[in-house]
Amino acid sequence: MGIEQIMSATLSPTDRELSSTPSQWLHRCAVLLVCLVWPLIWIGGLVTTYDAGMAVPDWPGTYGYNMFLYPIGTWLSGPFDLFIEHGHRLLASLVGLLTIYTLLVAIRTEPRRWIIGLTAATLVAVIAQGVLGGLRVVLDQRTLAMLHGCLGPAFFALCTTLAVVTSRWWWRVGEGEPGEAAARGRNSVGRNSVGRNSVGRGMVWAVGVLAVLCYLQLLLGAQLRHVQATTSPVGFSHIVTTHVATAGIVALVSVAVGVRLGRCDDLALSRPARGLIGLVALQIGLGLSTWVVNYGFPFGSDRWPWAARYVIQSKGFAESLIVTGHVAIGSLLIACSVMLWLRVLRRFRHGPIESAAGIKRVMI
Amino acid sequence: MSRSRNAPTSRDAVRCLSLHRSTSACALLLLGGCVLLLSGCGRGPVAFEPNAVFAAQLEQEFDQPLAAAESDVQAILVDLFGTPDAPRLPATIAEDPSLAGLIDPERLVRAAGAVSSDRDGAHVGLYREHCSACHGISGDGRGPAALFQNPYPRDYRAGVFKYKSTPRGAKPTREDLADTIVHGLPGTGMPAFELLVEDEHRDDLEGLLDYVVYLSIRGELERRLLLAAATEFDYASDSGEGSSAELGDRLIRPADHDSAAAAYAEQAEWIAGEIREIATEWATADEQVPTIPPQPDAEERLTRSTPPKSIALGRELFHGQIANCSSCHGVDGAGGGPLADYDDWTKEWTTQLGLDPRDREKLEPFFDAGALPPRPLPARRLTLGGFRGGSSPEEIYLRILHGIDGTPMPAINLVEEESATGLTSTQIWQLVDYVLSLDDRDDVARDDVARDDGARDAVARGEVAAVVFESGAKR
Repeated sequence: MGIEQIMSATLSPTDRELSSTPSQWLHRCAVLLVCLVWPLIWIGGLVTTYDAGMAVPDWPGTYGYNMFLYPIGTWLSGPFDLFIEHGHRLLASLVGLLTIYTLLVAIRTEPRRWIIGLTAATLVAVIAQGVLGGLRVVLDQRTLAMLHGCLGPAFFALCTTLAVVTSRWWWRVGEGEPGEAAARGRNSVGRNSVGRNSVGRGMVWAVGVLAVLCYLQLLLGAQLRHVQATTSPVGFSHIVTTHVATAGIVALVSVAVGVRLGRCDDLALSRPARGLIGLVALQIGLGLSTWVVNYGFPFGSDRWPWAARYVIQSKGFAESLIVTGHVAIGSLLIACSVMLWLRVLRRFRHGPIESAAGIKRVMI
Repeated sequence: MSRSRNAPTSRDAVRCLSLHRSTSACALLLLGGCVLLLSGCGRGPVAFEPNAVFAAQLEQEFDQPLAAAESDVQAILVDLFGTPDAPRLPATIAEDPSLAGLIDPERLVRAAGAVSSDRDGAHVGLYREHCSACHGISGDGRGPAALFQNPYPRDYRAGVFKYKSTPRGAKPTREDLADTIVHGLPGTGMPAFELLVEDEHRDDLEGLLDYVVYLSIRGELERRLLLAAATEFDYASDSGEGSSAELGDRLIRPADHDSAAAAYAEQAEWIAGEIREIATEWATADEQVPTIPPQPDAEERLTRSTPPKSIALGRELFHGQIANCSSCHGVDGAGGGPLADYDDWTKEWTTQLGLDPRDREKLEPFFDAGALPPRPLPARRLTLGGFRGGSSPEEIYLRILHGIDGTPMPAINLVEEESATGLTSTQIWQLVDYVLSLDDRDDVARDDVARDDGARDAVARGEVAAVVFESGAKR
């Protein structure tokens, strides 16, 4: 199913959609997927941080064993490289199996065909991602490792999409029901609240651009993290400059989106919008820290004693967590912005929460 | 809620269609961005970069085109030293018993190549894992992240290293290099690889040391061959490979040795002599480590703080005419000295050729060759503490005694009796006391080191290198 079809389906509910009820099991599976994929990204990030990608040189087996039959004692008591690489594979396998189960649940319970298609696409994506990870090992190619690292967050975003479109909120909005706050009777209907709760084309664009920028940031970050030894210093500096400049744009857009949607009474929009600001702030802090623990303070070492005395610790535990955390929060930002974009898009299509009262949408 | 109320109007449909197109455009843009960013990643085999900056410098200095020489030199170097993925030692080093222990061929191979690891957690490709992002594949100090480092990462190819226990101009010992790798350099981009001192990683450290020495010998030979090409061979009439120049007029590539066997044998013998000379400097570096005389009042220092009189005398020396440290380091070591000099690696292709390091336009040929923009090298503000060559008294003694290679920091003339021509060891210790007194934290560190029994005994025995290595932990 192409993106056009998927988007068309999300914007134009079919009769089948309107006449049936959503599958809560499917939503639970999707949420569980999201909850498993994020740690998977963390562990994958650690694999890269510790250069442990080749700790298990064969694939799909582990040192000749069936992956699932590799002695647990050897795994747990072995070197840290082996521990995280094999652990990454096991968790990835679990995610793969859960995706298969999710597809079965979707086929059995989901009335919307496009969601079944989306679940199938998720399965295809997890298989592709697994094969890519395997090829990275079999071919010993760091470029494939970078590609694997870039597609992981995309898969995470796909799982998030599945979780969003199978949620009750999505269904309720599709049926024109008011949002959470309105449903609880906290929303007053008035001129001000109309402006506050409306979602216009500008907002859809802004959040969409934010999601794209977050992913672009991840690609740029991957270029820095998996930097080729033959990359020129000038080329590297261009990537760094672009990464920093894009971070600034992401911060501005996320603050604008967060402030605007943060005032919205629909918690499904306001919470992730506010959360985005926090995540971006955290991510910028982690990004700066990542630079410092990798390359030291960019300036000030001839001016301030604390900078002059700072010694970078190679592969220190705290340093590894900072670097990997930057990768993981980057993925979370993508997932959050995609989630927000889908919700904003949904709200844009089906009107503000006051639409039930017959008040016109106010464009922003 | 009725179906009709939510039925899309024609306006909605237009809006939706517009959104679909926008979404598709975004997706295509994103895909294009991915392809653009990931393009160029799958490069072919990694090769050592020629020393194009040095060649450009020689071209300007001797007015001789050296593009063909660069190519000839690379062919010779590949024959002798192999490639980044498959390094080897020249027979001169591998077969000479006096140089046999300099580089272990097995460890060298383990340190080279792509990063990987085995079941036991042992890593291969150590240099690319830990070093190449800053120091570059060739050890040229031009790795991808080099532009953001201040100072720039070391270019091993010149064979000059800053922080070491040997005299100015001499090669560092392996312990000196190990000290820098294990403890890092404060305030710079050089990390501390403290994990490498653990028993299971000790071999990794030795492998990295082997590889750094290998790159340095290779790079220094490259410079000598290029210099010879510029001064002793005739590349002026040579427009490139396969030109009309006679074989004897230029360096002979290994592939051409059949057509000029006698000349090639002579060239090989000359090159072997050059390699032997460079390698011997490395192999004999240990012999040049001086014995540091015990600190005056060493016993007293174990229980009391530094004698104020020693600090006062050190201050006098610091600002006096003989040591004259304040002329660069400023009054009381606070920096701001009048001189804004450059390191030797920069001067080589700027001031030594009569070029102003600030004149970007005239330096353009060197930038094209890969040179990084010159950075002034201000003298250290000693009040900051965290000395890059180590903050222990012994390490500072050595910095004062030997200076810092490649920088304007000069060596002191060590004299037996107090005179106007140099400093006695006692006076150097007084300077050490004064320099350490400029920073409270380092004063504490100094006392810690002094109280360390092992360090004290080692000083008494004159085992300087061991003290430097161990006390680096106090940085």
